[in-house]
Amino acid sequence: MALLEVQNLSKTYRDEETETLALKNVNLSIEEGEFVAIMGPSGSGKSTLLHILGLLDEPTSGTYRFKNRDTREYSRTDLARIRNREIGFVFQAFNLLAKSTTLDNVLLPLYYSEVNDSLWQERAEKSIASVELSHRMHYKTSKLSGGEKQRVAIARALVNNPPIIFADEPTGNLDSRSGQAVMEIIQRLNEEKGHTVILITHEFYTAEHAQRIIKIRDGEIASDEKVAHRQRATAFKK
Amino acid sequence: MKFNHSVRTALTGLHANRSRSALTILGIVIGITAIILIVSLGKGAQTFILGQIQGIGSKTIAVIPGRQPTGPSDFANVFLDSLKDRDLKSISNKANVPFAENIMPVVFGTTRLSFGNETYQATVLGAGNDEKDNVIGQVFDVYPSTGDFFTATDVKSLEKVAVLGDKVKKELFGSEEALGQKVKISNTTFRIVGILPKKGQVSFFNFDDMVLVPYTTAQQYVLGKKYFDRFIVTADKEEHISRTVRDVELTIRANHSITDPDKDDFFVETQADIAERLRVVTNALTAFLVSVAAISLFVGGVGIMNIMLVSVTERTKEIGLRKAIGATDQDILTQFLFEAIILTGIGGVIGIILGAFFSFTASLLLTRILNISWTFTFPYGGTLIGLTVSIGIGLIFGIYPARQAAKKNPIDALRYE
Repeated sequence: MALLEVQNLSKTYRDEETETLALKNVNLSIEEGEFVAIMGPSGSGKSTLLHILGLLDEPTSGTYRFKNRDTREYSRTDLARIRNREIGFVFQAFNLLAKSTTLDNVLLPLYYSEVNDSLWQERAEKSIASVELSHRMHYKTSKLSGGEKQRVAIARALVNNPPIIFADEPTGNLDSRSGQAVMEIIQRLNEEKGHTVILITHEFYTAEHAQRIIKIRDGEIASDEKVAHRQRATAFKK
Repeated sequence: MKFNHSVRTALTGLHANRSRSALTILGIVIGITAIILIVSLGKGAQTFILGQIQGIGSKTIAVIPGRQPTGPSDFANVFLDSLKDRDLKSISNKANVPFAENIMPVVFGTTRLSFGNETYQATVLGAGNDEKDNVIGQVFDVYPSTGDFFTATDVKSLEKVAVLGDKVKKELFGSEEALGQKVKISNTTFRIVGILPKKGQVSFFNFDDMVLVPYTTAQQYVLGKKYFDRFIVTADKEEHISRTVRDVELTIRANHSITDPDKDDFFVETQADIAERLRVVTNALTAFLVSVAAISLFVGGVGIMNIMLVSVTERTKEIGLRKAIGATDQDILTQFLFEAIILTGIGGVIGIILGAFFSFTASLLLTRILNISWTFTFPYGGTLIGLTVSIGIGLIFGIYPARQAAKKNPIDALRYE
């Protein structure tokens, strides 16, 4: 049974008088434990697809079954709970609270969780350690480098231990070395911890870290193939 | 989200915008300060005024000539000479007013006093009783510090004797001995038999600025009146006050052949009446001033709403992020509502402290400079109201911006630039 499944999914943006069809008739399913890259040029609809899959946005038509249940059956509060417990987001623009410390940023999802608050500190510290940022624990995130910021965002995405990670161009704002470090962490999450990872990128090289690449063009799936030669991310290539 | 974390989140948000937060609450601070100050001063004024009245004792009844004013345009200046000797005799009769303990007729007027080259304008108060000594002392609770009051015999025989108030004595005699001296009151020579100690205001009489003479003498030689300005009657017991009021009314009415109480040419006032009327007046005044101050609170509330709306727009991305990582609409609503409530709450606390401080300073100034025995009372009631109102304002004016924040869709908020 598929973890995520969309059928005939379409998304239209209505802006005053113009209508933009961002997704048309998309069908796809993602199994538990998969590492899927969604590729496409900008404006292809790949972000829209990710937002819908991540329950941040709603389709205009078609069905989306999350864990075998139609998402239209969920209330806004249910969706918030799912985003909190089942999903971790990593954004291209990091989306950290700049005036807060690394620790406070990572603690954030715990505030909205049902995890007992006596465990929060420990969990957050462990999550920060897993992205090797313990030495930046009490730094304001505005003081961190781009790569470090993205690792804080990953630590935040992981702190509630969600089974699914959505990464929207996570290396898009990073230099290649920092990008490698981030991709290594993401790959490890998938292979060692068993997280399902859905990654958006426009770079073929980055996409090849995944097991499967779905290419989107003009709102439609152009291809959906297994990756023959997977890239291995190593942060510090000699 | 748990309560303490909601508060923490809100505090963090406010801390991040410190200077703006401080400016935002200024309106609330000013409003609450004004209200606390007004309530506290109002209370002080009330305590002060009621204290003056209670100086003459709660069992005191005043019979006043004229018609009781029924409205602002109705001045009670008809029948000002309605209380006559005959009325005094009738109410002094135990058969008519059985529970009267003391009955003291009073006349008063302003007159010129002179001693040697010194002259001074003061109030002459003709009082006393022609059967009992010391009635003045019992009714007003003032006693000469040197000498004594004139006696019932003095009253009966129209003796030209006077008791001087503290200030009158000082103006005419300075530090010299006054007792036994002769002083001219309206060109009649009086012998000084007593000096009152410094007393301040007692009821509406300032004894310091007064000269007391037998009422008979005052009528005859000083004021030239055949009538009385007041009858002061004291009841023997608290529970006999209303009975005594009725007895006095019936007696005088019979004397004046009045059948319809609406046509009374006199009225009776108890200390409780006066106290009550003053309480109503001071309360109304306080309420009026508070409602003026409330306008500034309202303006402050609008200011809060305005800034919260700006804040919500500015932090759209933060809202989107919080929603993306699991904040429910309720969580976001709570966060922004708490920010508003904490803002106004802090404003309220600052306002209460400032208001109490100003009120305390005012009471110090009144006591030290104007020499009024003004007591500062911390406005506990006002504090409670101030806190409730400021938090209420946070709630009322914070709910709309908070709703706006909670309503946002996660993706729209995240995408906002």
